Amino acid sequence: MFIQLLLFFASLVFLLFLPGYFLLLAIFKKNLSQRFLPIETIVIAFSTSLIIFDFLIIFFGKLNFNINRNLILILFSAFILACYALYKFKKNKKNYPPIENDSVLKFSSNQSALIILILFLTIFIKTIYLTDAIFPTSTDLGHHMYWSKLISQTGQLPDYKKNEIISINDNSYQLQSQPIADFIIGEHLIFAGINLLTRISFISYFPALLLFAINIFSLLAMFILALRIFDSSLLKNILNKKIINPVNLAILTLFLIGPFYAITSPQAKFVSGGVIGNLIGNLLIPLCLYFYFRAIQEKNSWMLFMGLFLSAGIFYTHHLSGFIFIFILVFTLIIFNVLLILKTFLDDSESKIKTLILNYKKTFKDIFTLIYSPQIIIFLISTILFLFFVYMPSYITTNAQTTVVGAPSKSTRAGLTLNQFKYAVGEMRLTLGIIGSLFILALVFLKNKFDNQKNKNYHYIWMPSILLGWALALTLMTVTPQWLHINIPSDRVANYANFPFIFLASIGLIGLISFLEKLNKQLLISKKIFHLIFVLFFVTIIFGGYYDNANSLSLGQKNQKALQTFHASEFLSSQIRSNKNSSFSNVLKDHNYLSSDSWIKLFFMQDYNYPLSRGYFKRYEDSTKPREMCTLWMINEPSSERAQKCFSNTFTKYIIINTSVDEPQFKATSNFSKVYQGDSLSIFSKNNH
Amino acid sequence: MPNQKTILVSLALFILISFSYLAILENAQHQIKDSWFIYFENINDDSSNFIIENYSDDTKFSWKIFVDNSLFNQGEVQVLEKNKKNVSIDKPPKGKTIKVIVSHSKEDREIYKNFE
Repeated sequence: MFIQLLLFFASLVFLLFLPGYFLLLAIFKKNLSQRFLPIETIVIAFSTSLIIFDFLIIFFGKLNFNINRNLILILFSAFILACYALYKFKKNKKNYPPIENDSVLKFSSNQSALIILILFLTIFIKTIYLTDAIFPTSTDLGHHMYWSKLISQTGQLPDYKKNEIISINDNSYQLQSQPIADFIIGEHLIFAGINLLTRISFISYFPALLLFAINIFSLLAMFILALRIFDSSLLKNILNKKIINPVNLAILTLFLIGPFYAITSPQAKFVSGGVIGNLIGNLLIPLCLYFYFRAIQEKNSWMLFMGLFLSAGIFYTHHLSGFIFIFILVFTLIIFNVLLILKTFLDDSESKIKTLILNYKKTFKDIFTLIYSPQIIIFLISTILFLFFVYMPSYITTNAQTTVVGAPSKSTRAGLTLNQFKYAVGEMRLTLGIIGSLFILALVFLKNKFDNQKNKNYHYIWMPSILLGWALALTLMTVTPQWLHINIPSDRVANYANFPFIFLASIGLIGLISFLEKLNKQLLISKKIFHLIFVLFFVTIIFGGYYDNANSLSLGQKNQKALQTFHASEFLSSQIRSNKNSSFSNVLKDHNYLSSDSWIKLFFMQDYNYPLSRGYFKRYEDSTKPREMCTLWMINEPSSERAQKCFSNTFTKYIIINTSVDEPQFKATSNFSKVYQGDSLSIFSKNNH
Repeated sequence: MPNQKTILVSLALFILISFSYLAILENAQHQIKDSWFIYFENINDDSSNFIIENYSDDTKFSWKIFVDNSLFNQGEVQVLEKNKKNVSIDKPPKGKTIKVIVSHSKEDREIYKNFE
């Protein structure tokens, strides 16, 4: 156990820190420490390593290399050494001066102590929640780990397919292999990699701990984005620097996303729930915005390169995150244009059109200079070649992307009500976020710098454009998806919405405090009232956050029920393995009354749909998506003629059910034998005669 | 950047402690408690040999085998905690059903094979 744990930590460092760190060294060389703060380097190295791992393994997997421990060790050691050689032997072409603003980004002792306290509370609360949820029981994680185990076992990239029961005519069925669009390779490779290096079982702590690490780093990604995005000229020279400075705003952002909303979706609940794609999306989306923002602000093509690299990673990891990211970018550009035009026309400039053209000219020139650089051109060509000739994500090959465009096909995709949206984002965060949006807009239009600095003025519009574009995109996608012509589950999109509102809420809160301070200075309110309002704000936030945490706490351990399922699965798989001479026998299990049933497939490793599953009862009644009925009939009415047909057509021989719920119908017929009995689970075997 | 290094060291420490605690806890949760299982030694043949697996501190089990609802054999067996015992029976006469009933701590469980 101790050695396994050590290996786990070592593999985290080897796979999820060193490759990214050395790539950063190779790219930024000795300027690395000038370009990035140590905390930024750590967060970027972690996220970049994740994507480097995916692309390298996909590439070598496609070249028919066996994906095993040796390949991973050799490949990543070689990558690290190559990056180090580039760092060591290639001289810096250009020595970048330290960024002038960086002095602002130094942390005082008080600020550092506050950050450490917030991180401690965040990790502590999440750990308390995971105490009851670390045991692998969640459905989604079970589904995902099947693919990771398949990669680990076969040494090959998986072919995302499963056997589905297809109705040939009214009373005849057959199993047919069908492609799956919902799983994407980037969600599974890193788990396979860690398993190959450490040999820790997939049915253990390691998948949830890896997701926990991704979750912690996604909060830090928000923090570093906040540091840079709030270091904008928009906020300078306007308000009290002692209160409104990038580090304080970033700390407030970390405070709002960290300890007080530590458990609710998409946080610790997604960690134990195994919602891999969302968690990785929530790590990569803020980082991509971070690099795009810095690329524009600093006119640095390597920043753009990093942003593009991580963006490509999103599309090889999670289609929903990728889809949402496109909308965020589109809305950012829309807001940028609207603000630029409005700002130009509302300013007291004499030649408004000329000013606008000048600003657009400068914007396009800067963007063109960023893109027209060797590294970007080589990256874009390589990505296109990789997409078409190496590996195309499964959602493209199965045309799944066309199913998310169009009018909502179900009530769950028709959008959340404003009330539901309020709870999804968090009441306090939404309220403060709206105040923050108004505050930013007021700053944009009140800041009168256009005339003085015609060549630089558009820069400060990027900050509000990104924040407002991000928030607006997710609000519209969640509340009015029909306006955008999208057809995806609205509650899943809502899970992404609280991130931008946290940034806006930080600004809103600081804005309110500044406003109150101003009133206090003008003697419009007494000092006591000012302090009372200030305390009330924080009490409300803390209460809201803790209420949210308390509601999300788990009701108790599920591990004993899950262990019953694992024991039955282990027994049946060993029986089937030891009886190799018999013909193919399928297994059917129930999803309604068995605990952790999605993990059963990891004991057999025959097919994603092995065992077959009786799904939730409502699914068989869904008129918008008619489903096969065999899995329902074979458990509900096993002796009926139609169920017997299903048994024979699907080669189903063994059935795993909850004894107290589903045993009577099997006991009533002599067609079945009961071959296994645990505390709550029975296994029935269909007789051959 | 001494302040930032303190933050990073603290972060690494928090992660190390939290992850180690959760890993040890999960490992401990992998133990089946207060439970027992019965199953046929071979589910595909016609033998009545069966296995009792015990995860409770009560180690006494009694069993009965019925062939076509008539008692064929019975006995008692001790299975230590976290152990299993194979109960092998002389081949019973051919019948339509073999049923095994195991009693333990006032609870009966059964498994059976139908040959109809």
